[in-house]
This record gives sequence, structure tokens and C-alpha cells, in this order.
Amino acid sequence: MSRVSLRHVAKSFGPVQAVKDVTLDIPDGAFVTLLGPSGCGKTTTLNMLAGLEKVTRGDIFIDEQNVTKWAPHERGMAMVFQNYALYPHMNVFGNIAFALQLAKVPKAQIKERVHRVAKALELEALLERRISQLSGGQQQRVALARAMVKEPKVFLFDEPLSNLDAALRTRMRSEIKKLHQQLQATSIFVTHDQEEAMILSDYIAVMREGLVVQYGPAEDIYRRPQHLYVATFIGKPRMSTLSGHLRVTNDGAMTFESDTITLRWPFMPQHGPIIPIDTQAHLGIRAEDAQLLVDANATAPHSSDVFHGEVTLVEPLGSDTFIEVSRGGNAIVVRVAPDLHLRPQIPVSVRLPRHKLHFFDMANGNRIDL
Amino acid sequence: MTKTPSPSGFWQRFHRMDESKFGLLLTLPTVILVLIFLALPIAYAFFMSLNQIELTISPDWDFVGVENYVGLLSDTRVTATIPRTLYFAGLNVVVTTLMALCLALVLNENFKGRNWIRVFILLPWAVAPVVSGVMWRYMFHQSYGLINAILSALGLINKYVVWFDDPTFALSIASFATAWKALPFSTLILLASMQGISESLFRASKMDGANIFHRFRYVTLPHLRPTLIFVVVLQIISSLQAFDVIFTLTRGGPGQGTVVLNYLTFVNAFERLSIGNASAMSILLALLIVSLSGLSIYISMGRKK
Amino acid sequence: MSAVPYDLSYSMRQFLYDRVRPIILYALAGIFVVWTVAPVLWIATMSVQPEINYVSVPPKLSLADVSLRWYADMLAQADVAAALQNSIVIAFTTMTLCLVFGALAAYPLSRLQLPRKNWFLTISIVSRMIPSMVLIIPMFLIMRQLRLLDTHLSLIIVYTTFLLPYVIWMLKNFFDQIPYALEAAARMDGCTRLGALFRVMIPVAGPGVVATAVFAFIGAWNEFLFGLILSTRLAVPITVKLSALVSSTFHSDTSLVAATGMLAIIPVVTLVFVLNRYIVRGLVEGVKY
Repeated sequence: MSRVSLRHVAKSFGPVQAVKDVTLDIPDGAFVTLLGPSGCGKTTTLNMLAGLEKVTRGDIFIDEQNVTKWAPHERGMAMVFQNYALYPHMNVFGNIAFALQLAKVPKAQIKERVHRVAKALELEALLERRISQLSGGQQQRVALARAMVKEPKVFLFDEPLSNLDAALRTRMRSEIKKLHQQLQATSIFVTHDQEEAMILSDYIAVMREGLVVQYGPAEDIYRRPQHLYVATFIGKPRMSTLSGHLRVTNDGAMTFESDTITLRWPFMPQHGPIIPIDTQAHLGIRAEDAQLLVDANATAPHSSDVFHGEVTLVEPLGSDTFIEVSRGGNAIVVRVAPDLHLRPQIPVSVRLPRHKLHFFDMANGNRIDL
Repeated sequence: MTKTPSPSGFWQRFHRMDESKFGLLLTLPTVILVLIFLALPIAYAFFMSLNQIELTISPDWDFVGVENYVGLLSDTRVTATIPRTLYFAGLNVVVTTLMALCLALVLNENFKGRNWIRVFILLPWAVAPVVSGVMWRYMFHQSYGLINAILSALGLINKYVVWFDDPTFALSIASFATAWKALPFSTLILLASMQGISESLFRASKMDGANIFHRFRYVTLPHLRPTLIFVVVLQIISSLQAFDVIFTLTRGGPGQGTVVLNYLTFVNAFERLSIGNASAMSILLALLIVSLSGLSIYISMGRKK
Repeated sequence: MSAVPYDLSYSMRQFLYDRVRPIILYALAGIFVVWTVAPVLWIATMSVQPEINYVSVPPKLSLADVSLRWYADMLAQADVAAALQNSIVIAFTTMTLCLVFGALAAYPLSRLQLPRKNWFLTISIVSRMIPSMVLIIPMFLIMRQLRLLDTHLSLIIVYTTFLLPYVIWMLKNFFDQIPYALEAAARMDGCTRLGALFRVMIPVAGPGVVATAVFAFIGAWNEFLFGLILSTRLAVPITVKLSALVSSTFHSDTSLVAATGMLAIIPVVTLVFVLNRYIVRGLVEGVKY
């Protein structure tokens, strides 16, 4: 169990800067996810942590020890790979035992430890099998076992679930979560799947183009995205956004205007100093925060925080239904009760409560705190 | 539980060595061997080709510049090998390519026992050229050759033919022996290329009503063209390098009948001991072969696309 | 198809496919097998028959006369036995060196970032084209200078140098097919870079490595020109010994020469028959650029 930190780490492949400047502190025992689309530098960052990729600039520390130049086998980490990367020339037992054999652990002890791990992952019956005789899910469990048996300081996961089918992915995801709760080992997980990241992680680092856009507790990433990119990347369905002009006056009244919509919130919901704002911005709202007004006339006349439009899409999921409400090229996705039977082209109104809104500067995408 | 890194400074530095330095270190044994036993001899050969040297215990070196090269042009022994080499190479190319193409087409079909035939076909590849020379010598031998026995059993000849007394026969047999040895390899790469033709292409042509000959002409052959050219160039190169087979088959005879270019180089070097002259010949040969090989690589690069 | 059960062109086609096609295929295959096997079979026949049987017109081959005594005679001759032993030692050592040096060089070419990698690759291709005849005189002089003439070592060095470019190329193509993650996994499991190469990459490339090994062994075993020039008495390989027997008038019995020829091909032919699957793949990989 170890603390891991990266200090201004960068990696270039020739002229291509895969990782530009990454600084992260990973607390002891935390489950941290590097999240981002392909090409954002998350896997390169993981490989540098593992020692598989040389660091161009910056330093990596494990427990205050600078390991930047260490070879992978000196770092005491274990890794689970996307394509499992099991040794085809060994059976299951051989795959799991390999690391221990290399570490010259006595034979009896190897046997005992392999069996213990195999039992935990329900692999005991498969120990003598060849790798080619295993299903994808079994292979991934062997890969997990191979990492666990070392009892490493740090676990690294390189998109370990992306090769599995949907049902299996959900199962393995829970299994990894349970394992982490049991072992409490520092784990660093790379994925492009925001749902996976939310479910598994204590902390998430959202990456884009070789930089960390936001790093913090998973809850914060979801509740207070610091950048439009994070806001729209995290959450399903995607956060709805409208573009327009945001104005906050000295008295705390707020307006958001575009060609087709005008929204107005007259009161300050919170106390505190008022910072006047007058800028082009994106308004963001999550589907569960927007409120569908069944009876449009019920709206208080002085409040114009309502988006009027017509239903353009209905997506029933069983437990919830998501509808898309559009007007003049703007659209908002709203979560509604499944027993509301809405059909496309019905005119509806959606209330956008002021304290649930997110605003992002149109110029640079940064969050605007009101 | 994992072992702490070994404190030994040397191994630590070795393990943490820069990737490119480490890579260079690994290639070092090969680089040294190639420098001493490949680059140095080539330079040496080039240097010798500019001198007149007699190979004795202490060779006398006499710098003559390009005189050896110029001398080759007027040397009748050299010019006489040119038509022989061309004939030898031409026959070898035609026989090897046609047979390999035909055999590859056969092996590309599905039939019982195909895998066994594939194994047997590989046989000549394993046989040393020297031994294949001996084998073909015995096939065509005047008194105990199998060919004579068969031909006379069929009534095609009245009495055993002394094949190796005729320069054209002898050269042809040498060419056959070389083609025999080249068949497996040429077939294999043609076969590999054929298996790269997508099944859908055949199915599409079948739907269009193409018969087997159309399919060969319009689907298989265009796909194989680069590989076929590769095989042809390869056979030209191997003809230019022919030595082992001729050494045991005919020893250059009858007379000079089977002395091809490369064989003459050997004779000049080790029988006439005119080292400078032989070096010049070998350098020219090497240049010819390297440029032909460059061509074949260029073609096989195209084959990949 | 059942709509027109007696469609002439259809049944004609079926007939061609079912009856005529196999005849053509087997006939052609038969011709090729005869062409490849006949020379070997003839020398094999000669090697187990007294000379008088095949010298007669027409040849009188008889099963009753089949004997292995010509093999026994040749093996009993010290120089032939020594030549075989020389060839085994030289080919085996060459093969081992080729695999070790070849794997060491192929690994960075396949996996690592190496400065001037293309340069290395080009040289390894070009050096495959250099004809032996260019090198033979300088090599003789160099070996004489190093006092290595007529030693196993000189031939081992020459063959290793000559075969390495092929071996590196073949191994590189095989390594290229191994996913990078496999090597990464080995290094995470505690292997050093070389450990990953020898414990994971090479075993996983197994069939390819076997093919490469056989290729190197056969290449060294079958070589003739360097053997002829660099050895005189002690290090003579079997190919050179055979050529000496063929041209000498000392052996009156041709069956003895035929038996020696067979001895020179039996080891490699056996290898090819046993490992043919691997070899076919290896040969095809070897010409991929």
C-alpha cells in the first residue's frame, strides 16, 4: 500500500506530445481513475507509472521515493491489461505463479498463494487449463489473479473491461470493486467509460489532450464540473447545454438570452457577495435536475425560468424515461416518470432551477461560479 | 512481498539503461561480426580488385587501379561466359517459374493427400547444392544414369547417351538441377501469395460466369504478378551465384562448356591464382546482384500493398 | 437447381468437377512428386545396391541385393566419419550462435526505439545479397592472418555472420506478431528486459524460433564454398568431403559415393520431414519485407 504522485510528468514521441504536464497525488489505498477519450494520454501516463514508458520530463514518486528512472520490475506494481496478456505457453497455474517464481518464492509457498488467490476468484477448477481453453471472462479473472498474487504496492488497470461483452463487463466491474474494498490497495484504473469511472473510483482525473482537466473525488467531478468538457463527458445522459448571453446584475437578478430563448431568474437564492457578470456562456443542466411542468399554466407569472418547447424524442428505460425537449435548435434532456406517456410533438415546458445550473465561459470552457 | 531492487550498482544501471542504448548494446555482437567478417572482407576485396596480386605465401601487391576491370572486357574467357550464363539463367528462370506457378496452383486446390505432397515437395530445398549436383550427375550418367535407362527402356534411344559431352546438354542439366533445388521455395511464396486472394473475389467472378481460365487470367494472375517478378529476379540472382551445383555436376566441363560467370571467378582465383582479376569480377557480380536484389525488394514492397 | 434436373451444362460442370478435376490434380501432383523425389530416390537406390546392378544395361535392381554395407564402409572410414562430425559440430554451434545473437538483435529491431533503425534493417537486407564469391578470397586471407584456417571456429564464424541477417529478419517478423502487452506483462511480473525476451517472447514465438533454428542449421550444414577454401584436413565438412569423393578416382565403387551423398542429406531431410509445418511458415516469413 502506497502513495503515488506524479510531478509535472510529460511524454513526447518525437514531435508528438502524448502527455503534456500531469501532476497527480494518489492517496494510499485510493482507487483512482484516469478518464478520457482515446488519445488523451491516459494509457501513456499509466505506462510511465509502470515504468514501461520512459518519462520525458517530470518525476514519479512512490512513498516519497523518486522512481522515475526505475525499471518496471523494480517498482513492485502489478498491471491488468486490456487484452489480458496471458502467457499462451503456460497454463493458468503457470500464469499466476510466474511472478512468484521470478521472485524466487519457495515452491510450497507459491502453491499456497496461487491456490488462495485462485479460490478468491473462483479459478481453482481451471488451474491446469491452457489459456486458449478459457472464455474471455475467465481470462480476465486469471489476469486479475496474476496481479493479485504478487501482493503489489500498486495495482494498475489498463482498460481491463473494454474487451468484455456488456453483461460480463458489469460483473467484472463489481468484482474489481469488491476486490478493492477487501484489499484496500492503491489502484489506478484507466478507462474511456465514464460510467465505469463513476462506479469504481474514489477519485477521478479527467484527461484531455495530454492534460488533466479536473482531478478530484468522483462526486465533485459529477456535481461541480470545472470545465464544460468534464461536464459533458461525465454523466449519462449527457448534460444538456444551451449557448447564449449570461448577465448577472448588481441586485442578483440573472438572465440568459439567445436568439430564440430568454430565461430570467429574479432572485438570489444564496447570500453572499454578488459579482456582476456579463458574458457569452454555456448553460448546462443534467436530466435529473430539469423539471417537466405538466401544466404549463401553473408557472408563476413573474418567474420565467422555463424553457418552452416540444418533445422531439422519448427514450423509455423502464425505471426512468428520458425525453428531449427542443426549440429552435436548442434541446434539453429531461428525466421524467415512466408512467407519463408522452409522444413527440407535444408542447411542454421545462423548469430550470437556478441552483441546479452550471455555467461555462464560452471563450475557454471554464466554470463560472455565481 | 515483492523483492526490493537489488542494491548492486551495475545491475541497477543495466536495468535502468536507456532504451536506445540498451538496444544498441544488444545488436553489438551482430554488428561486430558483420563489421569484421562482412564489411572488412568487402572492402578488402574491393582493394584487391585494384591490384595485381599473385596468391603465394607472401603475395606481391601491385597497384594497377581499374586495370583489372578494364581487362575483364577484353578477356575472352570472361566474354565467353556471358552467353553461357544468360542461357543458364534463362532456362533456370523459365523452368522454375513455370513449374512453381503450376505446382502452387495445384497445391492451392483442396484434395486428399495435399499435405503429404507438400511435405515431399519441400525435399529439394533441404538438399545441399553440392549433393544435388551429385544426384543429377548420377541421373544423367553415361553408364548408370536413370535417364538413359528409362529412355532406352521406352525405346527412344538405342544406346546410352553421353549427356555431359555436349555443352548445351550439360549446361541445361546444370540449369535443371538449379531449378530443381529452387522449386520448393518459389512454390511456397507463390502459394502464400495465392492464399492472400480473398475468397469473395473468386465468388464474385464465379457469379459473373467466369470459368476457371478466366479466373486465372483476370483474378489470380494480376494478384500474383509482383510475386512472380520476385521469383524471376530471385532466380536470376541465384543463377548469377551458381557454383556448388556445377562444381560437383560437371566441374565446368566439357571443356569450358558449363563455366558460368561465378564459376569462372572461382577458377581464376583458386586455379589460376590471379586474385586481382577474380576480385574485380566478384565485385562486379556483387554490384549486379545487389542492384537486382534492390529491384526485387522494391517489387516485394509493392506486393505488400 | 432442382427445377432443371437435366440441365446439360450443369451436369457437365458437375462431371468435370467430380471426375476430371481430381484426375488432373493427382496427375500433376504425381508428376511434381516424381520430379522432386526421383533424383533422391535414384541415389538412394544406388547407395544400397552393388555397382554392377545399376551399371548393367538395363539396370538389374534386386531386392535381394539390398544392403547397407556401403554406409557401414563409409562410416568406418575415419575421414568420412570425421567430416560428418565436423558438419554436426559446425552446424549445431552456428545454429546456437545465430539464435542467441539473432534474438538479441531482433528484439530491439522489433520492439525498442533504436536510433537509425531503418539503417540496421537496410544493412541486414543488403548483407543477405552479398555473393560468397566476393568474400571468399579476403576471408581466406583474414582467417590465415588469424591462424584459424582449417578450424571449426573459422567456419562457425563465417556461417554465423552469413546467416545472421536472415535469422534476425525471420525472428523480427515473428516477434512483430507477439502483442506488446505480453512483454509488458512479463516485465510487470518481474522480468528484466532480457528476462522478458528469453522467458516470454522466445517461448511464445516457439514455432517461428524452431523454423529459424532449422533454417540456420540447414544453411550451415549445406554450405560448400567456404568449407572448400577454409578447411584442408581437420575441419572438412561433409559437403566438401563428398565433392572430393565424387571427383577422385580413388573410390572405384560408386555405391560408396552414393552412400556418402545420402549421409550428407539424411540429417537435414529428417529435420525437414519432422518439422515441415514450422519450416513452411518460417520460409514465408523470411521473405516478408
